[in-house]
Amino acid sequence: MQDQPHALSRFSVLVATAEEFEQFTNDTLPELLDRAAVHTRKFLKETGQWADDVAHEKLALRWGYELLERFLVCGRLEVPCRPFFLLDSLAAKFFSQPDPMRYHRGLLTPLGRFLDGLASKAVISRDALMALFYHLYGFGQSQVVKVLGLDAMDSQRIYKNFGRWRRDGWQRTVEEIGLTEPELSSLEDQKSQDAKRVSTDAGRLLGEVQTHYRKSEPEHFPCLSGEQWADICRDGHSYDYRVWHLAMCRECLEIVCRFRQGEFPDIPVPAVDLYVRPLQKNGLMVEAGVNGGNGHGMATRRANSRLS
Amino acid sequence: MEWQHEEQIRAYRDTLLSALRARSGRRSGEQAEAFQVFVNQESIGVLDGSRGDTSRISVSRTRAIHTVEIRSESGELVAGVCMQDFDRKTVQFRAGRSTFDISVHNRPDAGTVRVTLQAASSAWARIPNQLAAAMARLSSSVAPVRVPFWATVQAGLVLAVLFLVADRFTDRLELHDMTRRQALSSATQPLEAKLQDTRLALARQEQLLHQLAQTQEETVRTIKTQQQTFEGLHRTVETVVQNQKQLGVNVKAVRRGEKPAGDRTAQAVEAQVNKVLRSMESDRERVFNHIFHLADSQERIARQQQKLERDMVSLQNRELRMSFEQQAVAVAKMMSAQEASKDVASVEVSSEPTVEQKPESKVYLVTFWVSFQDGTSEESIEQLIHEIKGRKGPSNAGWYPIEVNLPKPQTPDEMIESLKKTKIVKAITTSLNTTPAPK
Repeated sequence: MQDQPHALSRFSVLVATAEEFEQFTNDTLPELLDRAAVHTRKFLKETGQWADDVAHEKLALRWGYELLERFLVCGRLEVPCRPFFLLDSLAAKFFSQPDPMRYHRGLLTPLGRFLDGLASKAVISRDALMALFYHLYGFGQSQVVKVLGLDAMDSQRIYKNFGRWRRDGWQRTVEEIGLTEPELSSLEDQKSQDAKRVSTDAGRLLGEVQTHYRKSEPEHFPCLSGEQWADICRDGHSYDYRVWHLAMCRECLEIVCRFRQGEFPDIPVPAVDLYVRPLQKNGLMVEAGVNGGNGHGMATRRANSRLS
Repeated sequence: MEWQHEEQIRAYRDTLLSALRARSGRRSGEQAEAFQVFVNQESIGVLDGSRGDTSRISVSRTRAIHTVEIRSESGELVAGVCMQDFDRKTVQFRAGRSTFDISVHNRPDAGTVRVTLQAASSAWARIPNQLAAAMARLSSSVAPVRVPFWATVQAGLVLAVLFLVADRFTDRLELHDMTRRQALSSATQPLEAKLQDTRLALARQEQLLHQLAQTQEETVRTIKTQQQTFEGLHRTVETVVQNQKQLGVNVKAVRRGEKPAGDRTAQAVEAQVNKVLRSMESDRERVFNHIFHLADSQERIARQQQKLERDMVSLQNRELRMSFEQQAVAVAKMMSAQEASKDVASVEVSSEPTVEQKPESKVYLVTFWVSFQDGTSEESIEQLIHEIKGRKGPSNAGWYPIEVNLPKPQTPDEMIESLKKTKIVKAITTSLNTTPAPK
């Protein structure tokens, strides 16, 4: 534990350049993380969402970590500054936004934390977004390619997404969520013992989680009707909508899967089937049978549909 | 149990710290293919870094932009900007070989973001670009116009010619082999048949050569046409370039305030124009001066007019006053003539107020004639006139006409009686026609 005057002097340190900022933040990373966690804890207490248990402490640390990650990138541009005070202002600004984080007591269980962390990561990581199809429904790459109606180039991208996720994405995400190996094993055990109950619980939480995190792409938030999805599947347009929304909406995924089944009988109707660990390389990897999007009602992707 | 929890939390904290340290270590080395752009925690699109060129994404929001984040496909935060409500920032980040230019502008009514990705492609990805550049350089030696499409066509034609030449060469080799084989088999085949085969082979070779010649001719024609097109394009471009240069020189000269060299006609025209402009300028100044003087004169005239109006008013007043006075005298004369028979001194009282008289003041003008004692000095007379605040007219046979403005309380008779008591007054009359006998 540091002595109080020394800690106070560090709090008010002024850094003048980006290099000084990096040096200082590297040296004071633990204090900065604690401070960010304190802000989160304060926010949870003020909003009546706090309880003195491990789950809440981990939640505070995780949100503090995400805040600190942003601070480390953005803070370099704010020099000269006092880093601790800058972190305070960043946290205050972040928590003053409406509904900045997803909080639900059910999401503090290992299962809830897993689903919440996965969806939270999927918002910012395409690897995690594609991995959702496997972790939630057990879809392999080829099935994802078929369901989304991707051409050859984009199906390669799916394989890369799965590869990166398998290599280090999943591990990093699980660490950031704070799930321990015993907790992961416990989840797997629960599934092997009572798969139906786990699926029911996961399905219930999934609705909450997906609805919340789908807000991060407002344009792709609303669900479409069966006819609209059929139109998209036939003409192959709205690539971004397909990729984002189907990964984040179980109901729409069911509609699309039923539509695709006429063409690809091996595509199942998606039911929540939780997979805790990533798809292994020798698992369900089957070469995609989509012929470039042509002749299957799948037009090629608008490569940069949202690039200006 | 409590201890276990603390251990668990500490381990989690250490994990997160390790992740943060690893993140800062990874920042400069990672080369991602696609980057997701987030504005205010909302995804707005993807920048493709695999194409090796510039990608751009821009968005406008009706509210202020607080954060802009760029993340790799694995979710790694590679660049980010935090903004104030009314703020403007332009920053640059490097992520691996890619460079991001982020420009954010928050105005009171909206916020706008523009993110540009300058992606430097890998060595393998650069090969097609380098090839294209080499082709462009090659084409520039034939035609200076560096049009990649034409360069590609030309290169294709060159390759086609090379292929045809190679084909011809191989055909010749085959012909040579065939001839040799035929020579070997000549011992076994009849002479006539061998001759026939040779003729057929020669005809076939001749046909091939003819086709080759035709193809070559077509190719040459095409190349010539292309060259002509290139030359035309080149000339056009040269003309455009010269025009642009000339334009640039002119613009520079104009900027420096100099005249373009070597253009005498333009100089003459410009000098003429300048002269006309200068003369117009002087004319304009003259006109301005005239206008100024006119305005001054107008003002003076207006002042004089006002003064004249004032003088006229005062003159009119004076004339009116004199006219009234004369009328009053005439009326007084008439009245004194009527009352003369009664031998009673009467006083002519003006029925109407004079011009100076205000109706409310009730001052009456009384005119009468006074005869003074002999030997009365003019000074004494003037003093008396002054005392009664009257005015004296010229003497007529020892009678002095005197006008007095009487205020209402005092009647003319009272004033005349008081005057009669004065030592120097010999007699007073209100009319000269009936001259009273002096006392």
